[in-house]
Amino acid sequence: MKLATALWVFLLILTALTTQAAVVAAGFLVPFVLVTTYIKGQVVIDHFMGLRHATSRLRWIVPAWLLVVIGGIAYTFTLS
Amino acid sequence: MTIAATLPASPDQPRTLPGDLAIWFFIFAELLVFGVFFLAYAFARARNVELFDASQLQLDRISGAINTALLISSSYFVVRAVDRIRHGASRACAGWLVAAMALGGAFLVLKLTEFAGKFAAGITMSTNTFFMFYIGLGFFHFMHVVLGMIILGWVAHKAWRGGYSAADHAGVETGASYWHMVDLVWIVLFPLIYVMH
Amino acid sequence: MKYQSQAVAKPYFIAAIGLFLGQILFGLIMGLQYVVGDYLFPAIPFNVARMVHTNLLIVWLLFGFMGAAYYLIPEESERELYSPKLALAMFWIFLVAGAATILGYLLVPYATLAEMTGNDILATMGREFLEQPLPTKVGIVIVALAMLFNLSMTVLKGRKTAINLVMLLGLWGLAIFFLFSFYNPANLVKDKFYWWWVVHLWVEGVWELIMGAMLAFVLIKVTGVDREVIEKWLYIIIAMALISGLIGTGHHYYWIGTPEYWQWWGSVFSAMEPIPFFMMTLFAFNMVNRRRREHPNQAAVLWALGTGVMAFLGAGVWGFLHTLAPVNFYTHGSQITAAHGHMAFYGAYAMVVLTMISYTMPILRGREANSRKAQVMEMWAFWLMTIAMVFITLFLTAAGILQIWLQRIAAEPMGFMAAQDQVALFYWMREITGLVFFTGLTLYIVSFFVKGEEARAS
Repeated sequence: MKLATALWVFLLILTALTTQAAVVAAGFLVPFVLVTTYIKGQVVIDHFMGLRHATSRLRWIVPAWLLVVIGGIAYTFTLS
Repeated sequence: MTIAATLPASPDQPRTLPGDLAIWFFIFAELLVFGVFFLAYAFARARNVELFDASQLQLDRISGAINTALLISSSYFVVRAVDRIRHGASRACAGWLVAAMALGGAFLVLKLTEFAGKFAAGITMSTNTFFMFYIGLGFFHFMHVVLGMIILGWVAHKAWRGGYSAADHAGVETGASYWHMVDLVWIVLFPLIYVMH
Repeated sequence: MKYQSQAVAKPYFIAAIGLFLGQILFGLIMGLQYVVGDYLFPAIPFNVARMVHTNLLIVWLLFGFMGAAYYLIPEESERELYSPKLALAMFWIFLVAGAATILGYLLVPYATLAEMTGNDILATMGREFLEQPLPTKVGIVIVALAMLFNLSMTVLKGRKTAINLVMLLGLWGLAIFFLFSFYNPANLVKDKFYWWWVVHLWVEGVWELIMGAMLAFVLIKVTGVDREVIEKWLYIIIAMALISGLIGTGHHYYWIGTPEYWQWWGSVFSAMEPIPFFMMTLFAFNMVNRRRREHPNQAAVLWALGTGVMAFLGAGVWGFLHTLAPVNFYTHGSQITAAHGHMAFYGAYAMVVLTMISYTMPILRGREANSRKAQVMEMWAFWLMTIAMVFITLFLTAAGILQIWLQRIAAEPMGFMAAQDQVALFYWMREITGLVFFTGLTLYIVSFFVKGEEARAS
């Protein structure tokens, strides 16, 4: 449970950083927020959902979803 | 019957997906819907950056951040609840679940306040594409928090009455998995709609 | 059969098949009128033939659902039906009302029918699929409420299973959403908006619950797979069907004067609607592969598998083809819609009722399964009808693509009737395939009268 608690605090810190990042320059904002969001999502998937220790053949679906969504969003920000 | 099936289950033993397989199909489908909407938002934004950036300034970012913290914390509480029931502590498990639901309730109140402010300012889904996504996706996610709380409430009630045990608690994991999905979706939704510009 | 009162299902199924035959006959008449415009004019104008074709479809499916419910609910609840007499009385009321309505369509002009039946008291007529005169609509409500009372009392006092609860929920939804057929606001946008609450929320909402319950029931019976496994599948399927189907109503709100956001919501959610149908396909094949017994009624197994595949193709794939707003901008109200309508109704609802009839009719007639000879004939009927329907769909799709091109995309767009002339060949091919379907249906009916030694479990 110590790991979970540490990760919880870590997630809260990342959230605060994400929010604070909104006021800084845009060039840095998007990559920073995308990376922190990806890390946050992966932490929830691995440790809260517990998919890291799952053996099912289906366990790749949620991480893949996160990758596709974050990747897709990142791509659209290169368009403008 | 295989030999493995006759071995006693140990906590370190690799497991299949936590909870009931049925809920996972449901989670996959939900993630698909949200994923399509997130990408639709992102592409719609790329075609109309000024409008999205200007509209985004009208959002209450702090409220969104607090809501993120609430959902992450409630997700963590649910992790604690699952940990308790693995040790057979039914009442403690129910307690953590109720705490998680309380944070979910706080999320709903904050979200409603946010929406009420927007409606009072005359903003609706028809105002522009940005607000269509903000209100539409926000409301859709809101309904998921409500459903998640109903599931958690049901699980907590059963746990309190001793319906689960250290050996048999798939129901708790099922509810927990759904709740984490609701959290995960918000973790992407918040930066996407409130922060990135 | 396990309970005497299940026998009330039999007249319902017989009526369903009789009306099905009528539906196909009028389909053939109308199919010919597509290419020979004045065929049977003025005795049966096109608009009347169309109304009879679609109304008969709805009525025979309702007979099928009711029959299925009267069979399935007692067996699942493990007790006799609350009142078999009430069920039988409702059968006759519904049959007489249905027949009178069809005769009304055929014998008097529609406007006269409206005058005769009190449409001036509460105007509900004149809308596609909801053409029924006021007394018929009231009759449908009475029949449905009496049935729901009867079935709910049975379930309340008996065993509650996922199957009978889902079935009951579906039937309640069917009755409740039908009430919107009485709401006919003067504002045309609002009229259409709520019209879809009957039409869409029936076929892409609550009917899917009824279908799921019926399919699950038959699969439990013919495969012997654990109820627990089947019920779990049923729950996910109906949850998906409801989430995608309810908001998916938005795919009808693109161009009727409703707010623009429906283009997003309708597109995304209706794009998810194939998922529950795909899961139904997986469900049917998975359960049959895991079967624990060889049921002697192989025809019923074939129908169940066929339902899974055809519902996915017709409702899922053909629905998806034209559900996204940018695509629908071109395809709206073309022959693509007709193609989808034909295969979806046959694949999902006609076939699930035929599955149920195939499984229950031998039992209602006092044997576990029909003779091998009768089953072979029924399977021939299955293949003839199903393959004919696939080709009807393909021809209509081809007609639709050509129509859209000529009428809406080409540099110099044609008028509607000029474009119709250009696609006439596909209409002829559709009509010929329709005759094959009719042959299949004839064979199906004949199979009920084939005698022979009863098939045994192997």
